[in-house]
Amino acid sequence: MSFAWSSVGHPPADDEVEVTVFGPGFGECVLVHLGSAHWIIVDSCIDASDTQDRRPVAERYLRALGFDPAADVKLIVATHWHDDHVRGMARLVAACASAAFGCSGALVKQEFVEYVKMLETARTTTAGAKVREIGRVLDLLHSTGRTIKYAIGSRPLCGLDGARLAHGHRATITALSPSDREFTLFLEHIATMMPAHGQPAMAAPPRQSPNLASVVLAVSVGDVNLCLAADMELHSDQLRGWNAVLSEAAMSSVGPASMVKVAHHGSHNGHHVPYWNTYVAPQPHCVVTPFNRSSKLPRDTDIDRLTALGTLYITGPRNLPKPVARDGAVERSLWESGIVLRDLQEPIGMVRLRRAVGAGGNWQADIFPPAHRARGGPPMGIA
Amino acid sequence: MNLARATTTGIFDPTATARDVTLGRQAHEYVGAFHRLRPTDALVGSGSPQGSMSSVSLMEYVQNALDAVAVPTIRTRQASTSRRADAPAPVAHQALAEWQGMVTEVGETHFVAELQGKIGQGVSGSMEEARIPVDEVSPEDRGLLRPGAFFRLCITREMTPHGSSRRYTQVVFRRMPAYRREDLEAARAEARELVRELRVE
Repeated sequence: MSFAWSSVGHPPADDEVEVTVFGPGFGECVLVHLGSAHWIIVDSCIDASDTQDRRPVAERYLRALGFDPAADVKLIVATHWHDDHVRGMARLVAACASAAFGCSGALVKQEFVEYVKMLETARTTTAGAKVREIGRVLDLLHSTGRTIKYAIGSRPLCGLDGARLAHGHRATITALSPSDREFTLFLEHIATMMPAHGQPAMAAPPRQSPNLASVVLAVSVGDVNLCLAADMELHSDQLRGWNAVLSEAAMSSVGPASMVKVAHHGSHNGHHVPYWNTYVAPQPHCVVTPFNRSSKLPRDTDIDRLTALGTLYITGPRNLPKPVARDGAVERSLWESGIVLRDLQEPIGMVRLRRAVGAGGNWQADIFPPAHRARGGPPMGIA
Repeated sequence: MNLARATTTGIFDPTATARDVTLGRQAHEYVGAFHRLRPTDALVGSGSPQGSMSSVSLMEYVQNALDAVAVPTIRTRQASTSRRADAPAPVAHQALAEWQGMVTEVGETHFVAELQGKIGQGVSGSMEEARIPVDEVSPEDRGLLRPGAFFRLCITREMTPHGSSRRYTQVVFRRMPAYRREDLEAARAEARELVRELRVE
């Protein structure tokens, strides 16, 4: 069962940075309070266990704290187009009426938009279902004339002058990816999936579709540095993945991160040792959003690796129990046929970290079940 | 013929459908829909013997009808109309559970799919992930098993007038409408216009 939205407590102080991570087991969403009621939102998900309220969790959370998404959100970033990162994104973009929208430039290129529109073409209830959300976002941006900011390695997406913030420190959000090579490969990949005349309509590309053109963000507010690593992965190619991130010019000005939204659901393939050794502060607070689909992440070995590095929080449950309450005859038929079912309406959890800017203090953590702190690591509250 | 089969292969044979089965209100609606189709609902490809009718319209209609109407019991037409005295007694079919699924991964022995529950206690309204043996897919549907494909998973109870019953599980794939050249062109033009007018900073 998810936490009660009425229990999220009080809003952050004007001089506090807050990082809140939602991750229900499929999908993730990160909110960052930069100070003085200025927020950014990275990716979107919904609470699938709440069949009554399908609003994106970011909107629900901000309203629960008493903020106005239309006025207080300055930037929304879609790190990539996979449906575990954009659920409810169109509604979120609509609710945050004054926010700029950031995404990989590849998502607004002719090739990708063509692909989305073609999948939607069949007009059945199911064809194109998995790209419908990103299609709605593009249509909304088009109809409202909202500003789109290309995210490319080393490009600043948003900056707030310290004079506008109670703590007096400048806030910057910088994209560290995708690289030019990833950008090109993404469009080449889309070209291979483009529908052709006579081909049966489809809902989506295979889930194994690579995490190309994923946007890693460096957030800096005074002495507080965050890394929001999206689904970035390792590649042997120096021009791709984490190798390319580390070669970005902007890395020279990135401070050591005391908080990391761990890449790619904590997978081994998302862990770049040189990055952690060079750009992450000792004993960081790390948050993993689990991926409870066919390939489950994080694995036990991932948790061991990350708890050895710092304090680790996981935003959702792992190894969900099989649902019950089906008819006995149905259960027997499933068993006889060798069919195994697992509930996807996972309850949503939340990890919230708050810290005053410029005071050199520690992160204070609030954990809302089923989010939990993973075993191991130093005592909570020690940065 | 069962309910699930009628959503796919049976759809292209209205004569056989009317002769052999009655699928409660669903079948009446679906057969009626077929006969109401106009010649202008032009078909593109998809292997239908009624080559001038619209696979898109028909498939959509049937899909919507099946989504909207839950009829758990299926009987043969003979049972509900003029059955001869020496004709075999009717066999009743009860849908115990039914899911609509989309394939997400295909392995050698199993495939993985996301399911939305449609019919059944504890099933209706559910969202689940399923790991299903490839053996459960009939040979004629195997070619349709690929990521992104849609299917119905049905568990049905068959009851004879003598009181015996058996359960069976079926995985029936949906034959999706084909992309049409003019639709793809329209999508391309729409994308061109959208990209041109997006306000990029």
